[in-house]
Amino acid sequence: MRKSLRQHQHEPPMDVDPDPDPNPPLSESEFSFAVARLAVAQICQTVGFNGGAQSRALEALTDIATRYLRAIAKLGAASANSHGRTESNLPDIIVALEELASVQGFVGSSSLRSHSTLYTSSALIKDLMKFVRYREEIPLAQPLPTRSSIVFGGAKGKFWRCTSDGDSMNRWYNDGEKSRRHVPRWLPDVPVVVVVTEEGKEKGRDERERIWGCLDDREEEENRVCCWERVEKEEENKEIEMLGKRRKVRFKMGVGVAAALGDHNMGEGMVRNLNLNLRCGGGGIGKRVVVCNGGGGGSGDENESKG
Amino acid sequence: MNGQSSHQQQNDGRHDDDAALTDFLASLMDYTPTIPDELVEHYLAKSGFQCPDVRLTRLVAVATQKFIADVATDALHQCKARQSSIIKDKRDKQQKDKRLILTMEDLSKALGEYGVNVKHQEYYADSPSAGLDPASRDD
Repeated sequence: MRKSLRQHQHEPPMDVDPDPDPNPPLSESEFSFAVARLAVAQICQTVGFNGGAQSRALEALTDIATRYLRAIAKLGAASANSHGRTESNLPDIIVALEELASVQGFVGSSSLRSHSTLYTSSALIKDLMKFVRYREEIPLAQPLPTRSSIVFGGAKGKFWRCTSDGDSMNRWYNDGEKSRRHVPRWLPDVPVVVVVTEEGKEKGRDERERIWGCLDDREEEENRVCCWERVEKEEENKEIEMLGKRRKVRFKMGVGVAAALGDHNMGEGMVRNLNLNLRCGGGGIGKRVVVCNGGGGGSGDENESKG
Repeated sequence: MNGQSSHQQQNDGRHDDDAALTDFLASLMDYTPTIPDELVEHYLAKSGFQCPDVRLTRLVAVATQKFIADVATDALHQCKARQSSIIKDKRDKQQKDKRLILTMEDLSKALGEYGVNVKHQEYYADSPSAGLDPASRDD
């Protein structure tokens, strides 16, 4: 935290202007930071700062506010994940808040309570209740632009992606079709399955639409056969090329041969020889084998050329 | 007997707390925090927090708002204390310096109580490393 604050401080002095200039397209993070700065400025004003704020101080406080938000989110998500859930609930948030709260003493800290009532009788939550009850409610001064009216510079904006203007309980999930209601908004769309009718078949084939599951069996079979043929042809071509390029390599079966030659580069060949020996049960000692450009022939080839 | 009654009492207290918490969450539906829901959701979603319940989003918003308000209140006290100490010497300027401004100095003092170390810059420099002492320049 300290480091980034320092970075903020090194920025050249800005004009004290709480409103972001709407003319240049802001990036997503700049935009969210500007909105947060507005909110923080408003909180400061309600607390009693009637003369405004230094721009640096306001930025530092905004930075801390966003970090606080992210810290709550991270701790809450971690708590949910550790219980095997993806969605966080109230105890997760309370745990996160308790963890972030600095210990300054609180009402009721002297009275002993069992741990089972920790969540509901948390002093922190009681403080929050008091805050909500006694502090007057001050909504953000500026209405936020709707999702469609925001144009971000730089990367694609996803700021409003997980929020919707409509049903408040349905912010996180897709609305619309019943089959997609459980899918969170931030996931990419499921590929659309097009039902190919008899009339539309020709058209579909022309356009070379390859959509999952919309090819019927015959078509799929054709495709597969085509693929196999092509692969086989390619393989044949490759074999011809290889035959043209590589020469024959001779190996001698037997344990002592490679060692007797004293060539360390033949080590790999020796290992192969040993394997062959084992397979033959030792019956083929001294037998000469000609290996012509097999799968592993290349390495032997290299070895020979090196030596 | 005594143990049972204390257990009963504890249970009652717990039920009260539960009811209070439920009421509190219900009241958040009508409460509009200064930090807008969209902003909170944006930052929550950025950190992998997923929760469809708008009441919990507002709870986070209220908690953040309270934190910032607490810090700002502390800074305000610092500001007032500083002003009153200055004003004692110069009585004539009392009318002029009535405005309260959030400054880096007060803020850093207030944040220090919350475990955040902020050092405000004495002056601005052209290059990022110009004002640093050699020890901190290394890291």
